[in-house]
Amino acid sequence: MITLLIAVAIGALTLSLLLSPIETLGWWAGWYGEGLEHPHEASHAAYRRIGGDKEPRQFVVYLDGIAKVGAENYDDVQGLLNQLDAALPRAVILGDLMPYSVRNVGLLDERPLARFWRRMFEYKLAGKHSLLAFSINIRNLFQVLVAADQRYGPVYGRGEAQVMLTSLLRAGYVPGSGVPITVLGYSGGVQIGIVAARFLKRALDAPLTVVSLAGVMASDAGLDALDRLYDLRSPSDHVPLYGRVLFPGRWPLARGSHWNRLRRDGRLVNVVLGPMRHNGSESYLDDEAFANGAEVDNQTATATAIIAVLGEIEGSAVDAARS
Amino acid sequence: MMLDLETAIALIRDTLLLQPGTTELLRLGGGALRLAFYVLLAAGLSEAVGESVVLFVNRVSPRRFAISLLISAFIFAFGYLFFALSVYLLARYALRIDVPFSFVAGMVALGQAPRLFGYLSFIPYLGLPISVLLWIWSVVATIVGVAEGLSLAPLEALLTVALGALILVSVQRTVGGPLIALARLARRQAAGVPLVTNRREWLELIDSAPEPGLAEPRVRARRRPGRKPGGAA
Repeated sequence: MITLLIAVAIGALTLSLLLSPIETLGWWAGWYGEGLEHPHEASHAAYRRIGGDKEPRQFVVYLDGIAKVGAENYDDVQGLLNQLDAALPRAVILGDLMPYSVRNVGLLDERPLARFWRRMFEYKLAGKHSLLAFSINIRNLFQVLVAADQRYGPVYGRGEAQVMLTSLLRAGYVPGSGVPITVLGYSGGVQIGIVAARFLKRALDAPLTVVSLAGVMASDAGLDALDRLYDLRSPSDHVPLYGRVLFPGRWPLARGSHWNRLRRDGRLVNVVLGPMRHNGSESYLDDEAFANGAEVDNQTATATAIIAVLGEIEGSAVDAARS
Repeated sequence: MMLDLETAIALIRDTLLLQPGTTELLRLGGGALRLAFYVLLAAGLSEAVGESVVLFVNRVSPRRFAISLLISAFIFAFGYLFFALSVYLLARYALRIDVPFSFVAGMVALGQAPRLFGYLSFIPYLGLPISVLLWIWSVVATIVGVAEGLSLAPLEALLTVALGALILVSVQRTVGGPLIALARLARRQAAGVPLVTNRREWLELIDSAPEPGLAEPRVRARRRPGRKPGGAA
């Protein structure tokens, strides 16, 4: 019985892996019926900005981790974005993209398996059947692998750049204005931001920075398009190390890789956060964590670090404009 | 003679596991030989599925996509039959082994059994290493089959297969040009669009035809050797 269950699980995972590039490639090939110029009109996100109108000096696009299901954010994520919005009066925060779909279609929207994902999402919210609910993370993790694959990555990047561009334009971004754009990614969302960077830079020709919160990323050509990459992580979180081990371009031996060029050019800035786990309780976004026997607010600590980085990016842009 | 399902599965399984005895049935011809060619065609189809990203990137329609997969499977099979021909010629004229061509073709065809899993190279990120492993596995299976079928030592079989491949490549690059062109034409006709297959052109295709908001890609200025970019002459 156990052998059968394991066989079924392996079969399901293999099938899921095999089908994972289809959405990206099918979109590119025009199999979904929509053009390349627009994400899926009927089901795309509302492209809402967080907070009210601002005179922007920076646009921040947030790409969530692999637990994301659609436009709506989890409470802890929304809490972080609200803190950023409140602390940065000249930054427009966009946080409702679905990074794991080049069409920006959430798992609960128009999809053949939407009912299944709705059920898994209910389990996730209720904290029930955690192994089954984890299928959402696995599905999105496979999209990170699609983005990291040198065959599929450029297509993924082009699609995701289009989604981000649409979001920016609808939020009032003026192409050619030179207002800096920052992609703030969490976990696997960083990889998605990096593959889109090359196309986004080409489209807007504005300063482009990626802020990685516990990011898992490969050495992708998109890194060449970045002015800087801020790598925020806790030494007690080992998940970002998977990227360092699994992607050969991140190894120090690969001296000519995009990642190692980023390091050598001084465009990589490491920011060490306090003791935090990758997800769940005591994670970066936990607002009721415990450390050393004392109650702490990791979410605020994380937000403070990100705000400092975003403030630095805004400051450099102002300095650059003055000079 | 028709092979029953159990024997057919056992023959493929033994080939995959590099077990001896697989050429005995092929020597009898009939059903075993037919099975070997079905394996070759199925392996070709599976490889075509694994490499179908080329069709997606070239924006081939679903109907033409299916036709292209079938055409690729036949081209794959023909390629291996030509490879079998070069191994046969080596065996006959260099090693003086008297075997029918159909037997050698069956051995080579059955040796491609590992590539029945070629569709797995479609898997993101892990696909490319998987395709390399499958290729090595099929080469080893072919060498094992040739060693047994032609009663050669493993090293002799390895040399025969390597020389066979070398002859095939040499023929492809010389008198085989028209056949390669014909295969390319068949692929293009099936796809309905000129197929871009190399990585650089592939990236250019993805960069091309900007949609509203995405600017034209910039053409990178080529540097002349020995001059600094932007510097005075």
